[in-house]
Amino acid sequence: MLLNILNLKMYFPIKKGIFGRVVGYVKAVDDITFSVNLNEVYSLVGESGSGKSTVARCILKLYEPTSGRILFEGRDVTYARGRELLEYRMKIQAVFQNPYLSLNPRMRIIDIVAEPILEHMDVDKADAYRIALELLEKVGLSDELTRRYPSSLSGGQAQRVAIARAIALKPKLVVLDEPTSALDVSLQAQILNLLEDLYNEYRMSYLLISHDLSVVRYISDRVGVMYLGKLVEESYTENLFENPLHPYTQALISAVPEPDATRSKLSKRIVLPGEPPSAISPPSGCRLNPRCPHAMDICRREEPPIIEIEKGHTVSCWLYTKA
Amino acid sequence: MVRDIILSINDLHIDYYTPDGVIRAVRGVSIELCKGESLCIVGESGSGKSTIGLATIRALPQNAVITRGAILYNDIDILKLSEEEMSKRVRGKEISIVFQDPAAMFNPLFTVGEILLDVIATHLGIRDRRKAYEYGINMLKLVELPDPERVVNSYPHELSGGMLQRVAIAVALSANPKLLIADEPTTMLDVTIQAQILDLLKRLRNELSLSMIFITHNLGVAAEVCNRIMVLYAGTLFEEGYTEDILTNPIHPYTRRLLECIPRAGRRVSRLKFIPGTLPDLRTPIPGCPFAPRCEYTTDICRKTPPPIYEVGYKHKVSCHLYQKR
Ligand SMILES: Nc1ncnc2c1ncn2[C@@H]1O[C@H](COP(=O)(O)OP(=O)(O)OP(=O)(O)O)[C@@H](O)[C@H]1O
Ligand SMILES: [Mg+2]
Repeated sequence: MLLNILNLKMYFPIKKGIFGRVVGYVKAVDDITFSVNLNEVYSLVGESGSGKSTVARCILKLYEPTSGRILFEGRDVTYARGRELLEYRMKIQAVFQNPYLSLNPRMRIIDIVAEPILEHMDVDKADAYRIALELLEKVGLSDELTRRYPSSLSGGQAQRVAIARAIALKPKLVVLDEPTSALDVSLQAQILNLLEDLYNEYRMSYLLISHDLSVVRYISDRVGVMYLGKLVEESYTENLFENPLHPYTQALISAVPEPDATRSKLSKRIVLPGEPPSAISPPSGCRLNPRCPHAMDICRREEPPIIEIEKGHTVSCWLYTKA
Repeated sequence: MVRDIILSINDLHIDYYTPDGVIRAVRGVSIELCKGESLCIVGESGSGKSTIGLATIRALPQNAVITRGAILYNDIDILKLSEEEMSKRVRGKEISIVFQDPAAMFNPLFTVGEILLDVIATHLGIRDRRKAYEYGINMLKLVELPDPERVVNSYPHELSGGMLQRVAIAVALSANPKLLIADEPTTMLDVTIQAQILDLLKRLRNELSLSMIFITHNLGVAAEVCNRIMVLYAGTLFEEGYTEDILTNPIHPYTRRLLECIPRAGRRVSRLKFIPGTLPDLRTPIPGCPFAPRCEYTTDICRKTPPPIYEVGYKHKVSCHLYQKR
């Protein structure tokens, strides 16, 4: 296993008044456990507020978790500092939704990609620029573009630069946080193909954070579904899409509009009433219970356990506890 | 038959003036919408969808110029009305619009109730506060907002995106318009909330016999809500027909490619198709078909002459030289 997330919690304090008194917590991530294997694409899906990006930020060490542990290659990196942190940061890279925000606007494309190579690899300047140029060619950017600045690139081109920079140090894991959400479908297809090629060539793992189920289904080996800070279901991709167990997963999958004239939508769709409640005061028991069509008494009182239904397919729902 | 047409747009051309040149955003688009019909305008970013929508309610930005064409709503020549007539007789009353970001549409200093009362007073002339309030509450109920008495006293920032979009729909429909233009109304919403809003729009369309122009870049959404789809590229109509025909029998190479780009099965099953190249620069003249530089079937004629519109089936039109011989 490459990455283990154990009982991860991330609570953000809500402060009030001039003394910043803590009046409550946003439980963005509330006790989540999962792992990403070597050479695997694992996706976390969920809607806004489900906590998926917060998980990613904890893994990227942008946040220090409230509790829980993060193991990378068997080592505890939850509180890594100094050298250890630096080593971790080289092995794990990220690509975000808005590439322009992560690219220094005052640097040329080629310098942006060469920078981490010069800094962290034992090569001279000429070699670093040669490697950078190869990478940029690999992600499909022409020689001419490499001397431009980020602002003159299109969204798709800028995302390619971000990807080239992310893979420059041959990381073990790349966290992809909504990498194609800002792109049109034709560009999205190009980026997904590129990610797949790189995955095959470099034998790394991806952790994809996405709300787009068609992208998730297309690219992942395994999927975890999040709702209001909890992991409610996890399985192998096809299993999850063919046989979703959790009422939330079922609703989520049925809500995706597909350009398919034969699919009779109305009969299949499960519409959950209302909207997700706030993570400040989540409902007691199962967090879906106020919106769930199957809610029972116990769902309102007690948190459901995590149950393994078949190998690798787990669900956290009272419907599946043996009667 | 002619009587049934509620909106007809004829050979519309729209330019934007910018410091970097003139962007020819819409290049000769024609649309015919019958009463009760819903038409989806589908296209990638920058294809001119919003520009057409805004022109229809005459809300284009200052730097836009309609250089040619006509927009007829029933018998009203929209482009010939004065601004006063437009806002008194048409905007909100006959034709309404909702946008992707409803928050941007509302003044953050007014409550939902105040916003509603204002629309109700100006368009329906209901000045009695009690009556107007009741009317407003009913509109909020119509869009299935839970707890309308609370919503009416809320400020826009106190509501979620999905609730705010419901309010925007209530406001848009409060003066009983016959035509609703919805410009990416669910693009910023989560899928389960999107599903709710799409269901709501479908229901309202039937109940109120609304005609609708729905603008989206998502073919899945288009398939879900509309009976007709129009594919737009670089300000030009490429294909138009009944939703089923467009999805099961797409004719234009661009429409086909667009459908193939959408990821469906796992990556081990098939590799995604994509469209090489980029959209043309809309500041330059495009002599032939705007898709010619990216199309796998391009021949000489495609680069030189704009393709005419061919009728390829019942109410199924395509603008492509490939169909010349058929
Ligand atoms: N106010 C403006 N000033 C200058 N150019 C504009 C303006 N609004 C739009 N454009 C340009 O006109 C063209 C068509 O834009 P439009 O917004 O109609 O496209 P769209 O299909 O709605 O795209 P999207 O899917 O991104 O909303 C684009 O090239 C755009 O850059
Ligand atoms: Mg638009």
